[in-house]
Amino acid sequence: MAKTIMVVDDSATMRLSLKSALELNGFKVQCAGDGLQALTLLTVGSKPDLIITDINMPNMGGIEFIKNLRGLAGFRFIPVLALTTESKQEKRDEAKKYGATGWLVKPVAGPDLVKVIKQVLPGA
Amino acid sequence: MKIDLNFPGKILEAPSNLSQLLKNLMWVMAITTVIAYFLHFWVHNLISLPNELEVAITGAVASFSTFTLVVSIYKKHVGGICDATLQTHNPCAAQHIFIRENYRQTVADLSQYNAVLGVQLREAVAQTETTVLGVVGRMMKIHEQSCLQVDRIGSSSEIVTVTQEQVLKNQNVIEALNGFADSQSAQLHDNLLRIQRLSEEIEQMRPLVKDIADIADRTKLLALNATIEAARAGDAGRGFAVVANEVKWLSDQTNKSAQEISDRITQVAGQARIETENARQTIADNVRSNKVISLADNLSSIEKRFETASVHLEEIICGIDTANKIIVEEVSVVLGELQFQDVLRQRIDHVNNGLDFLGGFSEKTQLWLEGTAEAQNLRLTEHLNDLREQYVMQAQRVTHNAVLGIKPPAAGESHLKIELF
Repeated sequence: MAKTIMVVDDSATMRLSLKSALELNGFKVQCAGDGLQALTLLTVGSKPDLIITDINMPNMGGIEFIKNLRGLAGFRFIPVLALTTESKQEKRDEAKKYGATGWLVKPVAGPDLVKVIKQVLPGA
Repeated sequence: MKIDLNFPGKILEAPSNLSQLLKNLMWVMAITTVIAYFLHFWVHNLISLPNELEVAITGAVASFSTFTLVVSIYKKHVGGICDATLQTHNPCAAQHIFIRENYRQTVADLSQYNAVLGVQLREAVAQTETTVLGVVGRMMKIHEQSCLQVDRIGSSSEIVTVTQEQVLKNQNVIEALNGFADSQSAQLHDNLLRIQRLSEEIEQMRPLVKDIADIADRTKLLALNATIEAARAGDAGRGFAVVANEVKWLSDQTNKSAQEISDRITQVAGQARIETENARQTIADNVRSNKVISLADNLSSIEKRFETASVHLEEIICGIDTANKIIVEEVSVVLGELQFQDVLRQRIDHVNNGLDFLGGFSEKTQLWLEGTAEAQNLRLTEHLNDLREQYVMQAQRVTHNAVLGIKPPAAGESHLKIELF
């Protein structure tokens, strides 16, 4: 059965390119425009197998989203990958502290992304 | 109107003229005092006047001469200085107004200039976004078409497989038919041979029947002779006559049986001829059925050619499948590379934020030059530092440092593109 991945990014280009690249590789994809929208989707029943989130977003950024996500029942151990242009080490450390699984700097080629997903999502 | 760069020089000349003027005035005062002193003695010796009048006349003459001297010196020096000062001040004031107005206009223009650049950049970003979204859409259409082709080819592949299975079944049926036809033909030949042999054997019985009839005729003739001889013998030959009659009866019966056997042989022989003819006809029909076998052979040959073609088709299908996998991988790579638009958007957004700030800064400066606002405390270089703090990308910081000649900090940034915690 195809695994479901949630893409959280404020850029329409990023959402579409990631959705297309992941669907090409057999994943189901859900999209959200920022952390707040993603949290809303998750609280109304969406249950992805993995989340890919941007860090710098309006309304609710990626780090705050991860922090809130880990507080939601049923999402404590879901793998979360940060996909961002941010390069500050302190931001990485912060994301790690709040429970991010990995950090990827944009742009990331589709095959590399799929390789990472398969590493963190066994059976994908 | 150009700015006269000599203005500060001209203004600085004025204090030296003033100092000369003061020196001259001091000399005039000293000389006037001496003249007044001697004039007082001269007037006192020349005429005798009341003391108060003498002092008044001397004072008046001294004052007049002093006033005349001061006026003449003032006219010569101070008037010149004032004229020179006015001549300097007026253009200077005009230049100051011009500079301020020009600067105000420049600052006002700068706001518009920034606004235009900002909107242009934002529209360019929007345009790249629209284009990239279009490219992604088109690439997905290409992939869809590619998948459809693979599906179609997959259906063809299934048809080929089913046809191959059918061909195999047909081959088995044809082989069975061929075997059956061969065995039938051999059996028919055997049957024909057996019928022919039986017919011949029956025909060979016909002379035996004739022999039996001859024997019966001879036996009848012998019985007749015996009857004649018995009659000649009289009573002695009566018993013999009975035997002769019995022999004659047996002979007749034998003849009768022989005739029946002959008739039966004729009938069986005729039946055998009919059966032989039928068998021949069946064999002839079987030979005609060989044409079906030939047709089956042709069909088999077609099937073999089809089999070769299907193997070739399978190779093509495999090739297309491999090509499709490459297309998927390449599309996947390109989709990743399209993320450059988001990177570009963020960098341009940052530049736009800087331009927006510059626009606001210009407007405040313009208000200050127009005298309606206070001077700004912030310098642009300070905001440049704020701008640097807001960067998110390593590339942005590298560019910033390179332009300003700043040595990059040793730590604080990670260079790993992918890191799993």
